[in-house]
Amino acid sequence: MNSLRTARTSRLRKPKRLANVVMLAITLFYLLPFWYIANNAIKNADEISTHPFTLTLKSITLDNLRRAYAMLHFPTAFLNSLILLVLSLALLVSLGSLAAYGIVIPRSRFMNRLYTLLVALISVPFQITIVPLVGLLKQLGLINSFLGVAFVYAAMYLPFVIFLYVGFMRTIPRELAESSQIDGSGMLRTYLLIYMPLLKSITGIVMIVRGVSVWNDLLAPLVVLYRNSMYTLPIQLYVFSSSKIGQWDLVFGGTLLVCLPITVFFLLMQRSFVKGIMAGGIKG
Amino acid sequence: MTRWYVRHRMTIAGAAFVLPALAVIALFFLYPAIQSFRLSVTDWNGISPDYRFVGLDNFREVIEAPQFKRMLSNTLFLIVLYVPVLNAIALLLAVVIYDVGRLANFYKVVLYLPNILSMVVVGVIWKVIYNPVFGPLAYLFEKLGKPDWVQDWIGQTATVMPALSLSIVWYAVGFYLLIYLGGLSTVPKEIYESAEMDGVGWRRQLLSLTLPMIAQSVTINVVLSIIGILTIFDLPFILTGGGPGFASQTMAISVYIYAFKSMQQGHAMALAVILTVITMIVALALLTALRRKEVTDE
Amino acid sequence: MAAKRSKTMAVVAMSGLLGTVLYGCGGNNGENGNAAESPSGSAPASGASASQEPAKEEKVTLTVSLMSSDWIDAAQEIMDRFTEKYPNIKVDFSQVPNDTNAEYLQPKAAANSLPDFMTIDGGTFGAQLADNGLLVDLSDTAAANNTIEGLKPVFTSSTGKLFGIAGGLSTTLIFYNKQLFEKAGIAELPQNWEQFLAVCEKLKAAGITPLIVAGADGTVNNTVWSNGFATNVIGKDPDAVKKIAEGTFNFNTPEYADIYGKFKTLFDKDYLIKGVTSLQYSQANDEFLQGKAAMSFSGVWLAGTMLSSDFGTGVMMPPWNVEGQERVPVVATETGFAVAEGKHKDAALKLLDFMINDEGFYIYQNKKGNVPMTVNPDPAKVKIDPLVTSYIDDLKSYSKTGPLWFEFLPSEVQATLVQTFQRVLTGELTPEQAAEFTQTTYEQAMKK
Repeated sequence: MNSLRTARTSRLRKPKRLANVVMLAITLFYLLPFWYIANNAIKNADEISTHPFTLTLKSITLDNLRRAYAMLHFPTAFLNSLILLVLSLALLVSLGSLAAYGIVIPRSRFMNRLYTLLVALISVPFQITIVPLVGLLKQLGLINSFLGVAFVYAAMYLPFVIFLYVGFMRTIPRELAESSQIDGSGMLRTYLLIYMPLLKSITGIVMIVRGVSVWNDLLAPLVVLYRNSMYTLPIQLYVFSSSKIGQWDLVFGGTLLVCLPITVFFLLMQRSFVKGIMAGGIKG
Repeated sequence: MTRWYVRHRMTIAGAAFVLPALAVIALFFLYPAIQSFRLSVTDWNGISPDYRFVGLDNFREVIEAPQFKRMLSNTLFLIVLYVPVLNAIALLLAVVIYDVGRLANFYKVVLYLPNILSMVVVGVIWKVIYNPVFGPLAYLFEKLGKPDWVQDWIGQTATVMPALSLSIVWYAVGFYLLIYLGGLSTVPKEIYESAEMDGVGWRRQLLSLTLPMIAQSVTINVVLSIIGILTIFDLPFILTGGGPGFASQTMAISVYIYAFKSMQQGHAMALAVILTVITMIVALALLTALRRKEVTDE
Repeated sequence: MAAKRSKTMAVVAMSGLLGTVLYGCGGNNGENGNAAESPSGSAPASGASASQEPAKEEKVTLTVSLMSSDWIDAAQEIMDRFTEKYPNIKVDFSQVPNDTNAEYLQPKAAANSLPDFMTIDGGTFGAQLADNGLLVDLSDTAAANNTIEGLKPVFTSSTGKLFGIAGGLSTTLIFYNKQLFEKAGIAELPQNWEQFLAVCEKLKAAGITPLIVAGADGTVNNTVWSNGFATNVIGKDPDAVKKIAEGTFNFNTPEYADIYGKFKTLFDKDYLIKGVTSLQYSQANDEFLQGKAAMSFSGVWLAGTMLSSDFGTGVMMPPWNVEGQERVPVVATETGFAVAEGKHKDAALKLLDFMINDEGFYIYQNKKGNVPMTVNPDPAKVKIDPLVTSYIDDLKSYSKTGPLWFEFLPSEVQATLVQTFQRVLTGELTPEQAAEFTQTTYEQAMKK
């Protein structure tokens, strides 16, 4: 990979330096909104509207962060978001990869048709299901339960996740499965012992891409959960960011606190993540 | 005889693997969706247990409503302008980053960063950016000595869709960029070297060489970005609320307004059905067309 | 490296599952008991909390959902004090993001699982909930008895149930920046529309933006619409609100169109702040407090914030009546509170009592600085700016008053108000067309 890239330095006839200048300008444009949040989050409330982009030593305060932390009920909300995330991802990864396996291995037309149907579901918007969904969850006793919301996310995102897994699995040579079956292991054992370890990178992508959607989602928890002790971070943030008297110090402080965990997580994982999505681009 | 039995058995076993996922999808997605479709032919107001069957009245009223035309033209704008522009930008960035040297990873990360923010946060940020009185964009233009460039970007019918699209591009481009980068890495360098020797300019290289070779990535990106932009809700809702008037109203926003502001659940569902149908048709049409192109260009 | 990570993942997953099982159990047990009450047979107000025997010490957990983004700290304090007073009642208090009350409550209403104590606006949504037996009729409660009579009708359903208690008395007014007025040399406050335009012209000449109105959300309805409706329509036809409920009203009239017309005039003459059509409430307030304009059309609900400016803020009644036209102020309710039918309604009624007749009220009022809806609030404990008090006293001298838009318009019409204003400002509709469009929407809504 590396050697390919260095060998291609002259593919573009633009000089590398110009490209870098342009890219740096673009990244500046990209980072500006982040700077906007970050610098206002640690700034005195009165300075926020008057000097939104400059930070001076005397306007620095950690008070916004402290108040936002309390207002957000941060530890609880963070834990709630985490529980929801883990549950949803567990469902998505397990059910999704199993289903993809069941679609890819048997070479049957029935399965292919089923697959097409599933992929078509990706284009159905979630909003249409909200109201009956709440009634259904109530009947199943899943109101005010993280499992309820997790099932909702699972149902919403499984088509896409299955799509990703199928795409990936189709690139794994069939001989692997077939030889294992000749050796006498059933489909389940083949799946567990042989396929699962290979799915690490695609699972990583699934977890990050869908994980971000779940972590940031506002609507599903708002509709299903209404005990404050179960509120997730986005809801807590939205409560005072929708305030009519513009408590900007809280809003920015809160936004920073809410964005921070996921940004840090992403920065730590970014190498494998970037590689993973790029790999997805290859396999289609 | 034996092989048929084996394959048959595999399909059944395969079905067992698919079943749990299907069950969840059927119960928590299809079942409520079907109920919603049923509701689309009633006049339910969202609360009372009785409602009447009204046939296709809701559909008719939704289509005849003044905002419907604007919604269609906005949808068209998004499909015909936004999606190509988004993909063009993502591809260009990918091409530039591919050869840019050591900072490539840094660029990739920065450009992807907006995508991990919640759309609500992105909407709030851009709302401030576009504020013509004390927003940074206005400030910048005034400092540059061009105060007449300062307008109410998200409050004027002419500028609201482009302004909205810009914020969506900022948010989304990182993802598509990475997919294109992946596709680019599969193109063997020899092709470019021989093209260079033949004196082919980089623009033609891009269009006639690169593009067909990364057809798969193009397909994924176009289809995903279309589905994404047709159903997007949080960002436009926070940024413009569909305004001014209906200038930036999308079907997704309108479904929400019907459901929770005018308490016309039947209409909301009817519009949701229309949106679903349109999205599916467009996505499937593009998918087939692009898949065909992938094969013929092999 | 990869192995370690997957092991960590496994641990996290396991603890997550464990934690959830525990949470899940807790969640289901404590689920509020709003199960299956038959829609028709809702009991009338069982009750004044006074009838509750103090000896009954069963533990109750109330689910409380308030749209309290503007008084977050006060709300939390109220809940804390309440649970101190009633140790056998626990409160699970969640705050609802602003302007999302309908979407927050509606799916829960449809599934018959409303919170025990909630925010409710006067108007059709609450009335529907009440008529479907989901809300308690509060007519005989101590809280209701302590509320100003005039604030009850919009919280009463068509079947006569009082489904909510108003959260305050509401009126629209224009805040003005005393410093900027002085700078422009404005000595007297305008008393009618023509004088108002003259004041705007003077401000503009002095390089000051005359007026801020948030044109992208309900604020423009609260102010421009409600005020115009009161002056133009109710001034001419005091029975207008009744006619709207009966379906016999006609919006397609010159006086109704003029509501939009006046706003458009201000827009065309450049008297409105830049970005009006995309301006939202909190940004509008920020802009006024930063001195970007001389006047801000808003209401008494903001008195606390606006009057604490460093440039000195004054209040004036919106003088948007033409010369010779009678002025009709807007006197209406603020978003209020409701109690859901269900197992916990007695405890919830206690909370209502606490909010209206007890300590809770003063905590609430002090934070908001609004006008009390109660009949005899203790003047020593109430915090209102004297400017506001004298303003409200003035209001009593007007015989005709008008309501706020959300208190009486059908929801279909409500949903179109802001958009219609925007379409008029952008020139897509003339004021007359706007009136026509409103009438069509109204007729469609009343057909049901």
